[in-house]
Amino acid sequence: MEGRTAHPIVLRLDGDLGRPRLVVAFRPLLVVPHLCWLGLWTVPAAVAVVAAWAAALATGRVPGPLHRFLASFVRETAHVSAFLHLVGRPYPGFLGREGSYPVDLTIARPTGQLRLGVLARILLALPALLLAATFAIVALVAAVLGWFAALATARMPGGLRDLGAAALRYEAQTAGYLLLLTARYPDASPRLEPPIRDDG
Amino acid sequence: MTSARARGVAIAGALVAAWVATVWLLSGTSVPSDLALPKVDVHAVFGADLVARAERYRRFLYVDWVLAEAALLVTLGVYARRGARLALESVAGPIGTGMLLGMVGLGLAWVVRLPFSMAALWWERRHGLSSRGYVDVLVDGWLGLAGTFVALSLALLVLMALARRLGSWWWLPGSLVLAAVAAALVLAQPYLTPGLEPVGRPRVERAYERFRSAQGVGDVPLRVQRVSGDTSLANAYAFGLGPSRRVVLWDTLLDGRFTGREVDVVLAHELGHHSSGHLPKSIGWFALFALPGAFVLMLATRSRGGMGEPAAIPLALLVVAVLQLAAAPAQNLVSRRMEAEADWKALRTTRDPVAARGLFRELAATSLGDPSPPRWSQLLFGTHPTLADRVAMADAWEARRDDPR
Repeated sequence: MEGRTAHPIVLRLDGDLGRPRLVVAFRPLLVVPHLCWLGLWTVPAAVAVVAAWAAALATGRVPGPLHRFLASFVRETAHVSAFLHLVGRPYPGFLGREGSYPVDLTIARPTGQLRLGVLARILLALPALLLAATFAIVALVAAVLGWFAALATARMPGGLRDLGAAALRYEAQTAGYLLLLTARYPDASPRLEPPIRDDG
Repeated sequence: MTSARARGVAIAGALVAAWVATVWLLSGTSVPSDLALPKVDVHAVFGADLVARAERYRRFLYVDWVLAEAALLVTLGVYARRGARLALESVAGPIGTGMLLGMVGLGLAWVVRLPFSMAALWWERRHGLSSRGYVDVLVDGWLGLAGTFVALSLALLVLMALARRLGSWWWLPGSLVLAAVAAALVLAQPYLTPGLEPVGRPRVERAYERFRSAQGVGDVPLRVQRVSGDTSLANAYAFGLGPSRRVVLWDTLLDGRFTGREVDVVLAHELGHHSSGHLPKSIGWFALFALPGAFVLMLATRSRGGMGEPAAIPLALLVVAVLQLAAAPAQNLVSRRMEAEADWKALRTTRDPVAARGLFRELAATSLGDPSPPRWSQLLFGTHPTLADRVAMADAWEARRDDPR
């Protein structure tokens, strides 16, 4: 079972709010190659999550290689999403490596999961998915407002950046929960640093 | 001479010989080599008023084009000098950073040309040739950039990966890979083109089947594309490869402005492209142009570390733009030869030079095409023979009607 301290999926942010106008102007189109790439990546990820589900049902744990593969997929999605929503500044890579992007996900190593929770994961994730969809709209609105602001000032307003980051973190934690990277439910708190909870 | 140098010279000689032989093979045409086109009095055939209006109409578009090209080259020139700085805005590795620099450069090119595109649209609307809205064109152009960005990223992925692996020899396999990608695009294009519908006109379909059989073209469907909401221009085209081959008529050709016999000439012309193998030949020509083009690109980008380095990509965009401009006369010459061959096949198939002349007169009237444009504009833009030359070919065919060739 996972220790109930910090959430196992943490979003880390840098403080750089500068956004060069040229890269802002075409931003929605610049991610199209990444979206195509993620579309291709979705196929093996879907296979991997089915395999992870079967393995976790059998052993109560997602095997390390599958966990790493799915974690890379979720991290890459978060990097691309951060760039698209102007939460991150530079153009992201294509491999989802940890530490490769200033807006990064730290995903804890696999731990044991309750088999019943694994079995019913899709059903259990439904409320989180609904909330994640709402957060996605929030992130989109923040990104659209931030796009105009960054075009005018070459800088992303800090508040809009943080709002987008909070939304992206919830979406990433939801994806992590759905894809069996963690048994912990997503943290809906708008605070960027998730609360440290004591098992006490 | 060292043995390595001798080997290099031998390879270069073999490449040049293969290139020249391929040019000769692809240049073959069924238009008789001794065909002399008679002089056509454009004022008598097309009417002095139409000729004057067409010249005025085209003059604006020429100026617009020259200004757009100048703005594009200046912008790409500045981008070639300064664009490499944007590499700092990427953590995507050398190839991903190259993609970013390439996409931003193309995006800039689109923005710079936008006012000139809008001016051309304004001019077309003013002459009743287009009814597209400015916002529609803007949004379509923006969305179209997405497809362009994907294609560019794929091309850069291949070329930069080859350059990083093969060094300065990347241009040889690189141009062949680009030709293979072009072939794949030609094959896939008919499946990706939305809104192609059956013609649903028995007379047109019967004529099409008759001509298809006469030209020995296999199972190539005829389709119609609805464009009348956007333009009054009339057009048709042949595209696809092997099983994806199609002939497409714009619905503006079937709106009553053209007679049935004139539409027949169009059908036979488009089938002529397929029966002459113009689509596969076009891919061959693309490969022939890509080979020296990639070589020049390799030479030009060496000062920036070669095509494998992201810093070379802004310069590469400028070089490609210049090469495209420089190659346009040769590409248009190839295109005109193919179009002339399709015209010749249409005349042989329909045996109706009167309808052909009527079609070309009507095309001039409906598109305000200059029947006899200046030589320089024909060199730069002339993908088809001039309308005057097309009428002259109909005259020439009629003069030798009983010649079996």
